[in-house]
Amino acid sequence: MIRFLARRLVQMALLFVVFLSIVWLLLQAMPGDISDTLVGNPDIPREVRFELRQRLGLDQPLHIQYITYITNFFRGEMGVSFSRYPADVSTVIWQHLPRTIVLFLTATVFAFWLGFKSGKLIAWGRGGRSEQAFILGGVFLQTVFYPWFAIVMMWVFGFYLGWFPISRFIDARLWQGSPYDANDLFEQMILSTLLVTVVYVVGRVLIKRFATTVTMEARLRQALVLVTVGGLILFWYLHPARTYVADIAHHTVLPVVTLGLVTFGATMLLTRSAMLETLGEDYILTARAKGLPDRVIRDRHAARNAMLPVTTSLVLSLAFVIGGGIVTESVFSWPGTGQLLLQAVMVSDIPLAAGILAVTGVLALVGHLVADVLYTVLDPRIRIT
Amino acid sequence: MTISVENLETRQVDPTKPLLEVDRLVMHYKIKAGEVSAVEDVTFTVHQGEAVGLVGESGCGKTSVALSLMRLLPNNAEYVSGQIRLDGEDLLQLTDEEMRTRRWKDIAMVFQGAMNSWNPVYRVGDQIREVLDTHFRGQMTYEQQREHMERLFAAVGLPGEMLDRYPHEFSGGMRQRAVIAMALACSPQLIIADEPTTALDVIVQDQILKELKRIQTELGMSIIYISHDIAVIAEVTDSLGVMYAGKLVEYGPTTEVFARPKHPYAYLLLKSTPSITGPRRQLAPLEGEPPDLLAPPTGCRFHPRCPFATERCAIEEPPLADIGGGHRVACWHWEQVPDLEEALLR
Amino acid sequence: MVAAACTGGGTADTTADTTGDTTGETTEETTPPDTGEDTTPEDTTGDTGGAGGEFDTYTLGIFQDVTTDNAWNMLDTAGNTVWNSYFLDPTTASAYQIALPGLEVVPELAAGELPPVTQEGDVWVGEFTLRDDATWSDGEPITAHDVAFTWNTAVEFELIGNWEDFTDTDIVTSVEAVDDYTVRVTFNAEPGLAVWGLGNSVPLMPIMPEHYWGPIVEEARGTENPRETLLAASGAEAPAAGPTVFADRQEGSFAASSANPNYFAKGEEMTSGDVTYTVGPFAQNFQFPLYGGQDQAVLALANGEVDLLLNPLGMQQGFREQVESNPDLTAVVNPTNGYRFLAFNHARAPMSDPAFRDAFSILINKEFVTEQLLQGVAFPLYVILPEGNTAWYNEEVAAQIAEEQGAGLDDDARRAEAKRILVEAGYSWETEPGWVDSDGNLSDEPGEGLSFQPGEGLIDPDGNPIESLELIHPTAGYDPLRATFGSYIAGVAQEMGIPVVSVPTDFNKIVADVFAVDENNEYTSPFDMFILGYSLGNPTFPTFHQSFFGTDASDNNTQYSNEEFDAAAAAFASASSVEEAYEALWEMERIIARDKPHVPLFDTGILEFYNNRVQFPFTETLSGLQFGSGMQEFVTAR
Repeated sequence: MIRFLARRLVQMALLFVVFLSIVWLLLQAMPGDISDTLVGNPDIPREVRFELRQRLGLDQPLHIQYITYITNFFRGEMGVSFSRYPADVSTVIWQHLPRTIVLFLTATVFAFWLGFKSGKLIAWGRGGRSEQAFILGGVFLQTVFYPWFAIVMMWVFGFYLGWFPISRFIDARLWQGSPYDANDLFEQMILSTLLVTVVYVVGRVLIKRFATTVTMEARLRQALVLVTVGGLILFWYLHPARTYVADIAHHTVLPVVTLGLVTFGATMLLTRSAMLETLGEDYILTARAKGLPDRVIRDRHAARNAMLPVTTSLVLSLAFVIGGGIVTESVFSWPGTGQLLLQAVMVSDIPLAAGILAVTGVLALVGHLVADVLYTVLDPRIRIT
Repeated sequence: MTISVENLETRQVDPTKPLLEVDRLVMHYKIKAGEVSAVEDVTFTVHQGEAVGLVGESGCGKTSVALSLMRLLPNNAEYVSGQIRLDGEDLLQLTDEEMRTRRWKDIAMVFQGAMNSWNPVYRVGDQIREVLDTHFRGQMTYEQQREHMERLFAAVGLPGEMLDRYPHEFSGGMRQRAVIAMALACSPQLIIADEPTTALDVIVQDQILKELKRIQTELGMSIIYISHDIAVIAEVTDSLGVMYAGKLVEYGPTTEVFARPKHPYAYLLLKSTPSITGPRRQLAPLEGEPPDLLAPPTGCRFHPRCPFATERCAIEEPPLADIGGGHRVACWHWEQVPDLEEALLR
Repeated sequence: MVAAACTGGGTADTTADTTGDTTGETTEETTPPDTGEDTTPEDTTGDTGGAGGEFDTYTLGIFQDVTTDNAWNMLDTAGNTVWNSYFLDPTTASAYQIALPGLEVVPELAAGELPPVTQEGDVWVGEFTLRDDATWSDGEPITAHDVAFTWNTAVEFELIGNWEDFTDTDIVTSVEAVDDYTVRVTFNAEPGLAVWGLGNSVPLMPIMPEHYWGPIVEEARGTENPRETLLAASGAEAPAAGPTVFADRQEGSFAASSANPNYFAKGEEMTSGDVTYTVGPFAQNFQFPLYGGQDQAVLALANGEVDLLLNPLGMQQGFREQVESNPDLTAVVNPTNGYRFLAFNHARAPMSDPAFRDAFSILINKEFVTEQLLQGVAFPLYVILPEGNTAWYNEEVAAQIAEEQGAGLDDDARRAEAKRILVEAGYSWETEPGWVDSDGNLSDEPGEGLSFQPGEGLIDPDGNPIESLELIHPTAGYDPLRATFGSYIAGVAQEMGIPVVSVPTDFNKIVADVFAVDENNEYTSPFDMFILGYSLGNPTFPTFHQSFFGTDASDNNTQYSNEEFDAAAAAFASASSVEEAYEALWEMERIIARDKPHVPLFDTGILEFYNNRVQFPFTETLSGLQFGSGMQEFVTAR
C-alpha cells in the first residue's frame, strides 16, 4: 500500500508538471496579452501598454517566462494576477473558492443522492411505469438546454411563486453593513460540515467496534445521526450570524435543485444499469432465500454493489467541483472559480487562468487516487499493489 | 480440523411423520409468448429426517420446484393450483411477510453454484450474521452470534477465523462448506440443496456430500437434493424422484428407482450417466431435446423421445401410479422397460 | 465627479467587449440606431429634475464584480473597469466636472470658471480656487493641499492608466497649494484646452483626501513596490468628496455606498444642456448587486429588486419588447460614444494610394447594409465624432462630409465613380468591369438596357497585378454586424475586380495582430485592412483623433502620417478657446474623411432599462444613463 502510494505520488507529480506546462503553453498560445485590453482607449497612451508588459514580464522571451513560472509555482507562488493586479493568484482563487465549493459540493452531493436513490428504486421495481417516467424525466432534464431551464426555474420559483431569490448568493439589502464577510461564513460552513462528517465517520467506526447487539448498533447509529445533524443545526442556530447563514442557505436552494435536476439523470441511469446487473446475481437470490427484508436486500446487497461505479463517478465529479460551472455561475449570478476562469481567459490573465486550472488538475489527480483507494474499500476483491 | 456438530440443536425424528407435502403443485411462468408449464401436477412427500432427491435434465423443472417451495419465484410465476404443506400448513396461503420469516428458519437452501451465493463485498461472517439478525433479532448479542457461527463453521470443518474473511479468499470447497454452515444457522427443518456440488471437483464433491449427509442425519433434518446427476445423489438419498418436462415421472425409494428404473426416461437418464462408484455400465444415448414447455406434447410429455411410445401415449396422459412398495411411475408401458434393458445389453 | 465616469467608462470597445459580461457581447449589434426618440413619453421631459422625492435605496444592477474600494486603483490600470467606476466615481470629486446631459465643463469643487494661464518667464502658470465650504464626508475641509497631494502622489508613485492622463507630466511641472483654497499649476509650455480647460487634466483630476491617504502613502513609500502597496491598500474608510461614500462590499455579490452626509453640492441647482435640476443625492443608500447575466437581471428588474441596470454595452435588444410591455419598466435608447470602422494599412500598396482608398470606400453602400441587411439595428456613419456629442457635433460639416463621401448614391453610381477614380489613377483590369448592352459593348456608365458586368484582375498603375488582399473582421459569432459589413465589402470590391478576401477572425486575435508591436514598441501593422470599433473617451474634449491618427500616436496602427493632420491635431490640443478647438476638430474630421486611415462605417445605440420606481431629470444623454454612473447624485423616487 505504501509502495503503491509512493509510486502513484511520483507519477502524479510528473503528470502534473506535464499538465501545468501544457496548460501554460495553451494559454500563451492565445492571441494577444493582457495589455490588449487597454488598446484603443484614447485616454490611455500606448506607453502604458508597454510599461504594463514590462512590469508583468511579458516582454521576456517565452522560455524565460515559462521557466520563471514553473519554478515559482513549485516554490508555492502562483504569481500575481494580471487583471486583478496587484492581488496574488492564490488570494484571488481563495476568495472565489468557498462559494464555488458550497454550491457545487451541495449540488453534486444532492444530484448523486437523488440519482442514486431514484436509480436504485427504478431498478428495484423495474418494468413499472415509474421507471419509464423517471428515465424519461432524467434524460429530458439532462438534455434540456440548461440556461433556459435555469431561467424557467428562476421564473417559476423566484418570480412567479416568489419562494426563492432570483439568483445571487446573498441579499444585498440584508447584508449591507453586516459585520460578516460572506466568504468567512462560506468557509465556516465548509469547515463545520467537514467536522460533522469526520465526527460521523469516527462515530460509525466506534459504534461498529463497541456495539454488542444489532439493535444497539442500530440505536446508536440513529443517535449518531441525531447528534451530528442536530449539532450542526444547533451550531448554526446559536451562531451570531445565523440570519446571514440562513440567507445564504435560502439562496442556495434554487441553484442546487436546478443543478441537481439536470445532472442526476446520469447517476440514475448508471445506478440503474449497475443495479440491474447485480440484481441478476446469485447472491441476491441467496439474500432473498435468507429471508432478509426487501429493503435490506435492495440497500445492503443490490445497491451496495451498484455503488462502485457511482462512487468513482462521484469522487471524480467532486474533484472537478472547483472548476464550478461557468453557465451555472453566470445564470445564478454566483461568481466563483468557473466565472473567474472565464474572465481570466478573456483578458489573457495567464497566471490566474493557469492557477485555477492547476488547482483543478491537482484535485483531479488526487480524486483519481482517492477513487482508486476507495475502490479497494468498497470492493475487497480489488487489491492495491 | 475437527468436525463436530456438538452444541448444535438436534431434532428428534419420527420418520413416519411427513414434514413437507407437495400436493398436485401446478406452476406456470407467464411470458409474452404465452404460459410456460414449468411445474405440472407434482406430488411428493418428505418425511422427517428423510433425504429426497430430484433428478432430471436441465430445464425439466426441478429448480422451479425448489424455488416454488421457498416461494422465491420471479414475479411472472404463478401458482396455478396445489398445495405445499410444511408441518401441515400450506405455505402458499401465507402472506409475503409471513413467508419471509419462514425462509431459512424453516427451510434453508444450498444453492446451485455456491461460488456466487456470497456477496463479494461482505465478510462471510457478516453474511451469516445477517441471517441471525433477521431471524433472531434482539435475541443474541454479537458475542453469542460469534460463538454460534464458530460452532457452525466447526460443524462443516472450517476454522472460526475464516468468518472474518471475504468470499474470494475461500476455495470453492470451503465456500460451499460455508454455505452449508450458513444453511444450518437457524437449524431449519428442511434444507434444499440445489446442485450443491456441481462446480466442485469430484473428490471435494464427494466429501461435501458425505458431510452434508452426516450433518443431516445427526441433526435430524430433512433434505431435498436436486441434481442432474442421478448417480451422485443416489448415494445420499432415501427417496428419489425423476422429473421430466415439469412433471414427476417416477418416484420411489432410491434403491428401487436406482436399481430398477421403471420409466423409460428414468431408465435412459440413468444409463446415460457414467458412475464412478456403481458397476460399470454401458452408456445408452438419450436422443432428442426436452420439449418446449410453452406448448408441451399432449399425452405423455416424453412420448416424442420414447422408444416405447404408442398412439395412446400421445393422447392420454399416464397417471403417477403406484406399482408397489411406494414406487410410483407415470408410464403406460412401464412393464416393458426391463425389455429395453435386455435389448440394450444385447 | 462625472468626469471620472467618462474616463473609467470610456475605454475602447475592444476593452468593453473583452471584459464585458459573458452575455453582453451580443448587445452592441442588436441595439438600434435610435437617438432617443423611442424613450417613453413620461421620460422625455427634461424639466422634472428634483421634483421627485427622497428614497431609501437606489439599486443599480451590475454584471461584473466591483474589485476595489481604492480610488487610486480604480483610475490605474487593473482596477480601471467600468464596474469599479460606476461604484467609486461618485465618491470622488474634482475641481471641475462634466455636466450632463450637455457635456459642459463646469465648476465642481472650484469656486468659479477656470481663469486663463499667465506666462511667468519661461513657464506658464494657472491658478484655480476651491470653494471654501466644501468638506469631506468626515467633515474635514477639502483644500488645495489635497489637490497637490493627489497630483504629487500619482507622479511620484508612477501611477499609470488614467493617472497619466490627469497628471500630464509632459507639460505640467508642478501642482502646489498656494494657500488652503488656491491651487497653482505650473506648465513648461503654454497649455491648451486639453490641459487647462476641457481635457482630462489637473482641473478634472479626482481629488484624494490627504488626511486619510497621507499616512498610507508615507508607509508605501518605504516598501519594495510603493505603487503596488498603494493600489492594494484599502480605501473602505476613505472619506469621500462626491455625493456617495463607500459603505460595504461583499466580494462577488454586491457593493454598497451611502449618501455623503456632508456633500457640498447638495440642494444646488444645476443647468446643463436645456435641463435644470437639483443636485441630491436623494437616495440614502446605493446598492450595486451583481448579476451573472441579463436574463436574471431583467427578471430582477421586473421583480422590483433593482432600479437600473448598468452596462457599458447596454442591454440586449431581445429584452426590449418584454420591458416595454411592462408598465413598471422603461426602456431608453441613447447614442453611444463610439464608432465602428474599416481601417487601411497606409504602409502597404495599394492601400497607400489615396485613389485606391477613395474608390474602395465609395463602393461601400452603408445605407444598404444598415437598412437592408441589418434591418435598421445600426446606423451609417460618415464622421467619427458621434452625433450624440452635442457639445462638439457640427451638423453642417458632417452633412457636407457625408455628401462628399457619397452618402445616398445607388450601387451603379458607386461602381461608376469607383471605376472613374481607378481609371484616372492609372489602374486597369484583366477583365474590365462595366455595363454591357445586348451586343456585348462595354460602357463606363450605367444606362437603359445595360447590365453590370463584374471585373476581374485589377492591375496597378505600374502594370503589376494586385495580389490578393485580406480584410480581417470579427466573426459573426462575436459581432454579426461587423461580420456582415466585412463580407459585404469584400463582395462589392470583388465585383470591381479588386481581389479582397474577407477573413472572419477571432476578436482577440484581430486585436493582437493589428496592434502587434516590435521591440521598440512600434506598430508593425501586419495587415491589409481590418474592421474594428472604438469608443471615444472623454467627450468634453475629444482627443481621440490625435491618438488614433497622429503620426506615431498611441493607437495609430494604420501607419497613417500626415503633417496637415498633425498640425490640426496640435492646434486642437493647444487651442486656448473652444472656438479654436472646434475649428481644428472639424478640420481633422475633414482630413480623415479625405485621407481615410479609417472609414467610419456604422454605430448602434445603447439600450437601457430602469424601473419606474425611480426617475431621472433627463434620459437623453450621450452613452446613456450608465455614462453618468446611473445618475446617483440626482435620481429621485417617482
